[in-house]
Amino acid sequence: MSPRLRRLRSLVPAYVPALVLGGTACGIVLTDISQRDLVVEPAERMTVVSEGGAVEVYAFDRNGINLFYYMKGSFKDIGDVGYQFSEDGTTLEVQSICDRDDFCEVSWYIEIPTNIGTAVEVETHQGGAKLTGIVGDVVADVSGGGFDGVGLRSDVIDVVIEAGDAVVELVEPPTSVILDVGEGNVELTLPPGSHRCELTTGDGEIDMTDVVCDPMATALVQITVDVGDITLLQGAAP
Amino acid sequence: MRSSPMRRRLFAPAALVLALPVLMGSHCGFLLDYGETRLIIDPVERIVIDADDGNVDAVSFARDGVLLRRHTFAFQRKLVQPGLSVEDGVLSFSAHCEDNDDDCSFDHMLELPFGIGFDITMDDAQIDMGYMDADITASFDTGYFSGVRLASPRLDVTANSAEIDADFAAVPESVVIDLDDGDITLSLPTGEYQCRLDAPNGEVTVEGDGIVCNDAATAVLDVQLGAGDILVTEVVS
Repeated sequence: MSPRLRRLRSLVPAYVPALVLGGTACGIVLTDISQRDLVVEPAERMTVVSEGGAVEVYAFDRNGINLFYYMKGSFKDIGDVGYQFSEDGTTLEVQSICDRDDFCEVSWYIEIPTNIGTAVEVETHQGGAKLTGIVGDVVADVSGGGFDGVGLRSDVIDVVIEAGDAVVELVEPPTSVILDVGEGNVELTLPPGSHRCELTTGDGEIDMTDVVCDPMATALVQITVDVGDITLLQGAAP
Repeated sequence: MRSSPMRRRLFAPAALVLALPVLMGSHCGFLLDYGETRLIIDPVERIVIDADDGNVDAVSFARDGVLLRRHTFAFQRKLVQPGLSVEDGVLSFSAHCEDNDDDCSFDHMLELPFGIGFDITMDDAQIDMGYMDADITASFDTGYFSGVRLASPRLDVTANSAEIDADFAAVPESVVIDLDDGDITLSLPTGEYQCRLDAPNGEVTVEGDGIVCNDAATAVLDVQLGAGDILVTEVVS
């Protein structure tokens, strides 16, 4: 099928414009709803941009992508909420845009399959991110919360956090893990193996006694923290 | 004189306000817009959907129970109470509005275990299905059918005006399509098929060396299309 834009807000009745018009004249139209949709087509990559809320992505042995959001806010402030496939059909682009930040909260819970190793890119402006069981590469730019990576099998992880803790657990050896945190603590659990550790904290402590760091290793672990501690832990063998 | 874009933007809401009494006049009463989410743990072998307009989005994978979300949008005075039942392994939904009101819509989202087939009867249907491994029958007036990685032994689609795009992960026993107007694309695994492909007012194309048309084959492609093109192509895995 050709790429189709599906705006989940369009599931709200077509007659809502009439209410919105009324809202403009008489007051504010508030919404407090949740929606769910199912994407049958597989995606090699998924991007999620949430301008006012948290993002959670859970990968497990399933087919199709289940998108669920919880929306709370004012219709004046909430912009486009929905998803579409990229022109080449490989990337599922999920977004919740805030036209204004006054009262715009849209949090996502998304289930994806593991069997095609979907890469995940997340961008939040006012909320944290939690990724569980992801097999594909992970890129995250998080503002307004921390980052939790649970049982990740990703080869490449690249996370930037403005302010918040990063708690990341890898269950398979990565090629590259880059964590850049403004203010917050980092706890990274790695499977047994040697890693090229490049750890920097401007104001905090570094505890890496549990992990083998080898400057000649090919697997890169680069953690940069402005204010906060860094802790490396060794997890179980894959 | 053509109106400027700004004028058109201003005119649209004004027109809507002016039209409201007319709109409400034909649809007075409450507008219902609600979703139901159900987890069905009874054994199910087949799902029967009988509805006016709406969509059916469904995937199968290794899971227990059927997760159903149905979204209903209708004027209360037009809505016939939607039905849902499970009996003898058949999960049935019905959803209609009086006079087949085009403002009603019923959307179905389903996550299923493997081994469940479909029997769908709708007017305007947007059907997206993936990874099914049981028989699918769909009959509708307008809309589309999109199948992804199907392993269904039998697919049977009848429609008036529609786009039909079915991608098979396993060689089907039969694909029977009867369509008046639209385009049909079948992506099939390598194999031999009885190709009964008939499009008197369009093109019939069979692409890929792996798709062999053989009248003695057991797998049947019976595709009758009034107006439009038929494309049968070898699935790229």
